[in-house]
Amino acid sequence: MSLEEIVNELAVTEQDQHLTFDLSGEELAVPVMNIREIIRFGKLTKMPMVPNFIEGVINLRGNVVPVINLASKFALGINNNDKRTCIIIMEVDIEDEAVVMGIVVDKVLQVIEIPDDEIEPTPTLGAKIQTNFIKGMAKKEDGFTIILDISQVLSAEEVAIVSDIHKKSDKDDQ
Amino acid sequence: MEIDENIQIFISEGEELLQEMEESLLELEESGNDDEVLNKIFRAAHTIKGSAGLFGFDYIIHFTHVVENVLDDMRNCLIPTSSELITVLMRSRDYIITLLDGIADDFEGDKAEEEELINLLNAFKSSGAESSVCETEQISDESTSDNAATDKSEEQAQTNHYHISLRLGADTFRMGFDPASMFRQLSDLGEVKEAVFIPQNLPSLENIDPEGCYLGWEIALVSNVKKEEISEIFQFVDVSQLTILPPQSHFSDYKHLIEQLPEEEMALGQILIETGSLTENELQSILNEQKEKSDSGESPSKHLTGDLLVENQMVQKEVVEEALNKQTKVREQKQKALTFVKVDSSKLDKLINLVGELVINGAKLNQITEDLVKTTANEELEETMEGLTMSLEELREIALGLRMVPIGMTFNRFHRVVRDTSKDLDKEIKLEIYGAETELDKTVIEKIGDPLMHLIRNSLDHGIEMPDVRQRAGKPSEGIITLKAQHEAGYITIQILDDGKGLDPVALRTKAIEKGIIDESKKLSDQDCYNLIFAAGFSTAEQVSNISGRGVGMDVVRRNIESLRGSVYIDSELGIGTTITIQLPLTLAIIDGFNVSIDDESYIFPLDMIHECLTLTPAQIKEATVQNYITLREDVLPIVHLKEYFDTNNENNNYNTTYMRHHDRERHNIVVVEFANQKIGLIVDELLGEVQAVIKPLGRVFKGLSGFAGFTILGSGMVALVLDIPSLIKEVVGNEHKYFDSLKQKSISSRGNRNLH
Amino acid sequence: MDLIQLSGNCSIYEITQLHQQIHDNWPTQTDLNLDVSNISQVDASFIQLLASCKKQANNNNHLFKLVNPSEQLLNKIKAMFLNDYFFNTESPETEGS
Repeated sequence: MSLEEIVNELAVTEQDQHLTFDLSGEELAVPVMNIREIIRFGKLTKMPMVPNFIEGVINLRGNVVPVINLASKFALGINNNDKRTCIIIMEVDIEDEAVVMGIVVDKVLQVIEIPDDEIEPTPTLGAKIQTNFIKGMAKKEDGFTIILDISQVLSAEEVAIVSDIHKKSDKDDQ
Repeated sequence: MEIDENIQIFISEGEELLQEMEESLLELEESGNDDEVLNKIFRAAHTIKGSAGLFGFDYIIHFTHVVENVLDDMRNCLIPTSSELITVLMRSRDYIITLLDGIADDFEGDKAEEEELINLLNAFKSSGAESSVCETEQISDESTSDNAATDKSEEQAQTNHYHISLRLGADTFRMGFDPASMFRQLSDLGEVKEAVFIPQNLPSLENIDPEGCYLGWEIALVSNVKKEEISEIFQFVDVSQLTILPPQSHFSDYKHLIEQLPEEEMALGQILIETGSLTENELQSILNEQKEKSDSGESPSKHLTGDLLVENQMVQKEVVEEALNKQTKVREQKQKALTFVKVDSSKLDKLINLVGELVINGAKLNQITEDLVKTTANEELEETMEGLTMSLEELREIALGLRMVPIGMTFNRFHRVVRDTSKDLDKEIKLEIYGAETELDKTVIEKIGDPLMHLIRNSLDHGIEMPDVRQRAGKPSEGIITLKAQHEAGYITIQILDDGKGLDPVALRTKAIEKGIIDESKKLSDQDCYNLIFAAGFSTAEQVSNISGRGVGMDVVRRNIESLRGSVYIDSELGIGTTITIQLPLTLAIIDGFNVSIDDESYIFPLDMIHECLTLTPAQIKEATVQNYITLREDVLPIVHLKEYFDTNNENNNYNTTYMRHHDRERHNIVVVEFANQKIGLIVDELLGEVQAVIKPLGRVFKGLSGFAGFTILGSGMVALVLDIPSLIKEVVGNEHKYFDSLKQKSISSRGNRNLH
Repeated sequence: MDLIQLSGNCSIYEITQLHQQIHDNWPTQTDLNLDVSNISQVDASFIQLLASCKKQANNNNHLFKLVNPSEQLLNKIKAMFLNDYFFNTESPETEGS
């Protein structure tokens, strides 16, 4: 499926629609509802003094948008940046505030319908990704698609730890 | 209630009037019965009542009417001004504010409070004696001067006409107003006995703007109508100055009139005659005397006229001084005549955002043009771009200027707080304000009010001692809190000074240890001890009174100030007083920046923080590799390898700094920044030149990242970080940081060494 | 005798032109004579302009004279309480020394 086709499908936003993508060999999904747009991975500005999973920031039509490297955040190894690497721009409500962030993925796959009742609970063992980031699993022909709990992944607590780095390093120093 | 635009205007104008009313009430308390101030207060109440009538807010009319009546009696000298009365008027004014605020929620006020206030107001009204309270003042006023003054007072009593002093505004003709019709209307009210044309403002033919209006008259009107009826004539006239003095006006009214007259270099005697302070005969005899003196060798001057008048005690000295002051002041004030336009602030914000985008795109366009010109040498394109850049620069300046407002309004609000609080606390405290005209971005002003309020309450509550304590300490019983504002390069400094008991560093330290904020072993300078006050968890409920309390700690104050990219620190001397200094950036929106690169990423320095940019000598590079300072023009300059600083603070990196300095690429560019007398050199890769940076906030994700003021978008479309030098310096030189400790020791020891040589 | 002839409407709409006309024809050596016999409408801005002419003439120590003023013009001047200024030979101004 081409990127254009996927973008077209995104236009039909429905509750159950999910976008699947490849991240270091894992197939993950996020709700289409939270997706603003998908852009090709380009040059971004690196941020100093932030956790490694923050890839940097990009200029999205005059707005500065932070980009998260999920592979690094989930400790899935380094993603191989190539032509198919994309940034999915997502909008999530964090403490009643709409926050726009991008996530780097190796390849977007397709838009699929996953009704709520087909989402199975997260297994306590066996997932490579921390369970609190997972909303559930959806069966597919050759295994499972992991549905991310995107507001958890991008939650203030998880991302804004940035602010604590100094205090932490200060304490370490003493 | 649905608030339409007109009601919104009524509310906001009402609030403005009430703000002025508060200031005037405080002024009145200070100065006693001042007619001018009283009139201002009366007008405020009167206007609100009138406007409320337009919208049918009968309950507002009802209450305001009672206030207005009391004010009218004060004006007519039936009620003396007293501190108690002013307190009630203040409360009434507050109550009107709640009425205005309540319009949106259909809240018509707390009837119990209203009744109480009305009773209080009426009590003052009925307690007013029939006799005029001002008249006694007037008599005592004049009993101090002698014969000539007595003559004059008799003469005053004879004037049974209104004195109208009128200067028309420049737009009078353009607005289609005819002065002749004004005189006709005046004649309808009575007899225009005399109207003296004032030609001083009229330019000669060479200099005149023929469409502008420069006319003015001093008019004597014999009439029995109320003053309001006269002023109504001028309601729709563009008037630059208008004073209507009722018959038998008080001496001081004429004094005020002199003060207000816009005439430049008008002969002193003329002013005094025109306002009725002096008769022709008196002036003539003075002029004769002056002539004699000048014949005998003394140089004649206007001041001499003044002196002679006083010598002969024909007028009171203050009147003469007033008139002389007038002559020097007039010129300055003439240029200050401004007109204002009210604009919805959201429109202004939109405009400024748009200008921001324009500046970004302009920079981009400039970049493209420069590249293009290199290959095609298109002069016309180059020139056009230059012109555009200059216009954009100007546009930016103007747009930002629109948002700049003087801090005085914010400062003046504290008069009331100081007055009320010191009464509650039985303390005697005076508020002094300096630099009220200092301008600051509106958004900053809006957000600085609360922190300032908290700091002032703190000074009132904890800083200034009780009067008896002060006296025992050999201080005047009245404490002084001073609010000061002034500009420094790119920053504004606001200081709150009190002459109270000061802070005890030892006690603060002990308390901080008790609270577990610092470790017992920790060594702190006095300065550090004072700033403990701003540490989270320091101020607690037990010591918070109902004045400075409200459950907000000083750490919140600090955070609020820091969220404005500002900083705050305290200095104090035990028994002498405390000074709190707040430093704030002038604007939050657009800055002149300097672009540097570190590891191929751009970083923007605010230009006004940069002291100089240097290329290091080989010897300095060698120094910089092994230590955290270099020798610059025989001085020790602390330096920071920014790349290294960024990396050592990165969560997962653990560089060996010395290894890195030896094996990293060689850097020899250094930007020397200066803030609060602290100079520091920051080592960067490349110096890329000046840029205009529209600062975008760090946003939710990065808001905790200190050392940065925000993002900006470069001409290339790339995002760059804007450095926040004060917080960076604090971060690097701050006590807590390891970087600093080594740095400080080295620079101290090196300084020590230097002294030995 | 230098004579500047003004004619037609003399109101705020024409005032800039009139100002220019008088300014351009200002007599260098002699007194200022304004022929106002042919003017129709006048308004306050015109009266002010005349006052300004008088001021200029005074500054140059020349006389200012209106030639054949209409009743309407004189009434207008009177209504604006400028009679003294225009027609009292002694200028009420005390400045200029």
